[in-house]
Amino acid sequence: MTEKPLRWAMVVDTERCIGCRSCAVACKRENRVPLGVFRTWVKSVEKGRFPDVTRDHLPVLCNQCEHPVCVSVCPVQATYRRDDGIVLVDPHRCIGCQYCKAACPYGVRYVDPVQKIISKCFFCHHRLDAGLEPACVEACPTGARRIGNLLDPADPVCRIIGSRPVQVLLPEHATEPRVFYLGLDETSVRIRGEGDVP
Amino acid sequence: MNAALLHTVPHHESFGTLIALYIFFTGLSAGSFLVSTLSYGFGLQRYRSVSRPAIVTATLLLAAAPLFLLFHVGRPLRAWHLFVYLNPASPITWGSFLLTGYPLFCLVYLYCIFTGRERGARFWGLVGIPFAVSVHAYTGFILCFCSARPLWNSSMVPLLFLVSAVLSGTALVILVYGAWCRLQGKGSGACSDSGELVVSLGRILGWVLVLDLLMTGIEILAASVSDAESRWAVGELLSGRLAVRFVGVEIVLGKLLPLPLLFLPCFRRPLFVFLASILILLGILFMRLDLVTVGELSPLV
Repeated sequence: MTEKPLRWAMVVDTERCIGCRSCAVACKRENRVPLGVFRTWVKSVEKGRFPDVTRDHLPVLCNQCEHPVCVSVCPVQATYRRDDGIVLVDPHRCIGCQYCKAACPYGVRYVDPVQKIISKCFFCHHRLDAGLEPACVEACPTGARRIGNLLDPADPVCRIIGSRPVQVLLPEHATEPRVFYLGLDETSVRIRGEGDVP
Repeated sequence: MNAALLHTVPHHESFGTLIALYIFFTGLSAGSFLVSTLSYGFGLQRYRSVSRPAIVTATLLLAAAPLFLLFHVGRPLRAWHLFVYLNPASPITWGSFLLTGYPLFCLVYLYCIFTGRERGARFWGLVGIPFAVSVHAYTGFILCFCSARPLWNSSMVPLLFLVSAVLSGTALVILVYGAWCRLQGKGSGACSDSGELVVSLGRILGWVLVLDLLMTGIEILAASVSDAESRWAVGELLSGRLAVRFVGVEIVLGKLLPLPLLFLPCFRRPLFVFLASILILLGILFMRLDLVTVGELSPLV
């Protein structure tokens, strides 16, 4: 029996996200992420003018790009892509030069303050390999995050991506992210402060 | 649309002051090397006296520059990974070999100059030029390969780095040569016509400065009509958080003020060339700092 082709992908429904940050907490706990750095977080933006205001929440994590800039610039091939599409960092090989962190358009990489090497979200590959969902997916109370196989037409995640209008972050950089968003708000992506949208 | 950012996580810059200083030092080294080849490589005899201080400066600075990298990386003891697990697609891998090969060239060239081996010096000087050029241009490619970063991802950056390397290297050699002659006492050996030589180097410095200003102008102008990130970055440089550093120190103090000092006949004296050189060094130091800072000033998401 040949193994089914596998390419992990995530769908994030921003309209379901309530900004509770359970995902960020669950990730921290699961992956023992040190103080001051995050593998996933939720960017919250307030839009409109009182009393007509609304909040938009944008969960951010590593996009596990099909064409990852981080992999091509790493001078020691410490960061690499698995066959299932997950981009990993070899903790024994990384020298902590931070080139990948500078090159990543999404700012999802950080320097581990303890080990002094680069780390980031790995889609909880240890859980996926054991047949479990990533910690953030499991923890989300509204089901805003779903993970599945992009190459399996019967997979619900593959069906959402194939049938509904999905977006990715910063598509202009042609990295082909494997985290897809439903209802992605461009203002929330670009905003930097009070009315400071480039 | 009225919008306000309520919450996000703090982002830390990857390439800070240490990397800017590293780029500054390799630029000084490559520039000084090129100045030293004026006489030994290209046979311009009038610049012979500056060749020795220039090549000593180039070698010493290049020995010092990689120290900034070792302090920057999180695991300096793993530096050997760079040669074992190399990635040909990464500019840092190119640099690993350039940074080990180029100092050897410098040492052989230096040995030939100081032992009076004229033909050897000519050969190693000319062969060393592509090395000196690459050792600095590759730092430009490091920034250039960060495809999402505003002002870094530009084909101008490696070229701009070359020009600023020659500019800062020449300025440094002028100062080192001046100090060297002050120590040796005027009229002795290589310093017999030091004043004239400094003024002559000052003219070269002036024209390289004009080229540098031109290229900086092109980079900024093209970025100001480019994508949203680039336009935003140009705004930060010209009227935002970096305006004092960029417009005030880099452009006005470091690049515009030296122009009259180098070109007006009334300033045609070594003192003013020295003054212009100090200002240019300050300007190029800030150019490195500004460019490294502006690319990572804000997270892109």
